[in-house]
Amino acid sequence: MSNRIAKLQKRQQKKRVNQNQLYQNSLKQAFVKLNPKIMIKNPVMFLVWVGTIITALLTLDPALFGTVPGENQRFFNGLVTLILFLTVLFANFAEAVAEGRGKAQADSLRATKSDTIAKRVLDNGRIEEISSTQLRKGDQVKVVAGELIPADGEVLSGVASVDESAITGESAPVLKEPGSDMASSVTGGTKVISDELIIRVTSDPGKGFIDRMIALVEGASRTKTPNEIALTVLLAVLTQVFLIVVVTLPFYANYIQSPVGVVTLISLLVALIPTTIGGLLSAIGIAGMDRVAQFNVVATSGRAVEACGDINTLILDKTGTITLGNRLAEEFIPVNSHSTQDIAKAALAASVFDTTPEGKSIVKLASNLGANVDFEQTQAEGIDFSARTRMSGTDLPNGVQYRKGAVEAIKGFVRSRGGQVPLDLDEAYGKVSRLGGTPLAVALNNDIYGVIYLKDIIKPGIRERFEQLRRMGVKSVMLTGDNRITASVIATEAGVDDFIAEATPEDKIAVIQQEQQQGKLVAMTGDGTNDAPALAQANVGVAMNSGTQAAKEAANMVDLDSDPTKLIDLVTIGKQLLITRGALTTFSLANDIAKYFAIIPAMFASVGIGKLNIMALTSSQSAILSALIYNALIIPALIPLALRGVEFRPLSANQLLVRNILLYGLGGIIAPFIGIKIIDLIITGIGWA
Amino acid sequence: MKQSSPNSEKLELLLDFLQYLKTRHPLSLLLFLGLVSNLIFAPAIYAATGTDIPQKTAYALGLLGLVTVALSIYLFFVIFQPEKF
Repeated sequence: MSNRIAKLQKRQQKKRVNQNQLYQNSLKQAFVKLNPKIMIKNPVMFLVWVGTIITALLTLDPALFGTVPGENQRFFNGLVTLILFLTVLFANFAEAVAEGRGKAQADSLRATKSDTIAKRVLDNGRIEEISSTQLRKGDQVKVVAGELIPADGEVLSGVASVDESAITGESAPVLKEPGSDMASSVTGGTKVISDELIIRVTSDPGKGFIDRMIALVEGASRTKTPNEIALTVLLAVLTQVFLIVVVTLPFYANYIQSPVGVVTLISLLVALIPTTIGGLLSAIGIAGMDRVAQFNVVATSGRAVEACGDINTLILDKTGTITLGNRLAEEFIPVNSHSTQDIAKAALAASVFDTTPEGKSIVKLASNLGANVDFEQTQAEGIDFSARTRMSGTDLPNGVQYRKGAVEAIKGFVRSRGGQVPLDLDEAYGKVSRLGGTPLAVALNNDIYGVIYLKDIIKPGIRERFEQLRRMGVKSVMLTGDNRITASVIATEAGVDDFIAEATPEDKIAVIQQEQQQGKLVAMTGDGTNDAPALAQANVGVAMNSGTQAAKEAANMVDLDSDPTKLIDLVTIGKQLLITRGALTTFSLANDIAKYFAIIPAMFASVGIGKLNIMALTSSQSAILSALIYNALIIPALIPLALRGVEFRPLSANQLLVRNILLYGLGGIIAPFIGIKIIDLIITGIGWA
Repeated sequence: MKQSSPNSEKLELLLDFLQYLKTRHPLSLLLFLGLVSNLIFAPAIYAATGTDIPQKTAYALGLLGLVTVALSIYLFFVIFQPEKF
């Protein structure tokens, strides 16, 4: 017990140390980012930075631009300079903290990517030991138990357990073997823990999966998303408008004989331009990518994360997403006056080469019923399942053919060999379908023996998730190779909006294109090579890490945990990113009202607009300082919200709009009135103005 | 053989220097041109305000005006080419 507590304390201490280190490094980076070449990338903060330099000059020489009425000009200018400098520094700090979190993740990934000695298999079969950096695409390498896999690749031969915890965090080893879509791709940096593999390298050094992940989480390949570009334009337009307004003010001020100093004008400009969102904009974007990475998903761009938030249609495979991945054989239903023993034997013979979980469960059920194989397996030929034939089986050298597969496919198979479809087949098929199970027919040559009932189990909680998606206006479409009756039973139970039964891979692309033609954004998951075109066609394509290299290349996100249900979480993260940006923009703009009422009456107090001083601020100097201090402090105060994201609720677009306008719009109007008044009281209390 | 005058040599040297600045230190060149153009603006401001302000203030106001115009041009760049920022 005490050992566990000590471990927990140690972990918490380590986390605190890491957090402290992150803040220390971010503070350092905040100063590094004061470099004008970096500052110029953020238009709003660049203006504050230029303003800081001008007010600093005015601190040294308050009469630089002519004499201005007022006492303690140098002290006042110095305070304004300090506040403006802190405003820039806080904005840089927010960005640095967000970047720092990504870098920490990249460092932990980099730790897995050390140069290893690779055993390259030469053409003559000999093995040559070289550095992993010398490996090229197409090379073959041998990896034995205890060694790290030197590069990304496809398994050519061998069966081995691989520890992928370095990239997925999942400690259970994964079985890797050739030929299978699911288990044949391996990632560089993962470790073989038993047996050995011969792997064909599929990426050149520096272009592997982990390299791409590092570049992404570090922000090296970060480009502005369309949404960020649109917001940057809006902020620049607002800044331009306020700049023009402020520049024209001195002429009116001189006309009414109430001259205004340059420091006051700069203060007004900084208070009016949207510094809050300008300072937090890039931090929100980086944090969004970071949140996706924390979910163990690697996005190829921020654009993909943002697109998740705009998704209208989700296309989901039934198996693994809506139902638990492994359907298991539950029962054999004999037809055509065959016995259960007969169908068990035929099903076993048709499944001996089937390595899928379904195939293995059929073998197990048949064996439990006492069935055994009565032919030489080495002489027989396994017929793989394909999406086109929709059946698999075994061919014996004497011409006997065992088949199992979709009922319609088996009917066609039997008819093509001159057989008859038994009348009780449809009854058995209907029985299984009505139970929401998958019926597989079993045939020996032209005789149908019966139906295997594969039981599907709907994932717990999935119905609620679809309900949430519906409330957010996202339509869910289930794709399945099952017949219509089974598909409709599962669709109703799971609560999806639509389903496509007896679907082929081409149907996926057709559905995506159909939805896109109606102006909708579509997201889908996939893992096989035949999913690659659909993954590329979808606006958001999420490939499973256990899937093929082709699927991973075509998708714009890769899920390291290979959990297709995560697509629903990604939609939530995308929406949260967009809502956070919208909420902080609303808050930032709403803040202007209070700052306006603080500074304008202070500027023109001498011409009798004192009634506008509704906050009853003590003096013009204290009003300006209060507005600027509030403006600076609100940035660090909102950093946690920018990094964590606004709390997400599954509401419709209209409900969300009303909620955010009330919370961040109305809140953005009221909060600064209170904040500025409190700061004014403190400033007056300590005698700064 | 044509002989170049000492003045044209000086001009060539100056142009070479400006070319060097343009390629290697574009920001320095901009600052230099800004200060040079202020030699035109500052006397104009001084003349417009009569003797109300000292000459130093006229130069400072000239530079402040140039900085403001430069910021406005920069913001237009951001508005029309936001992907670069």
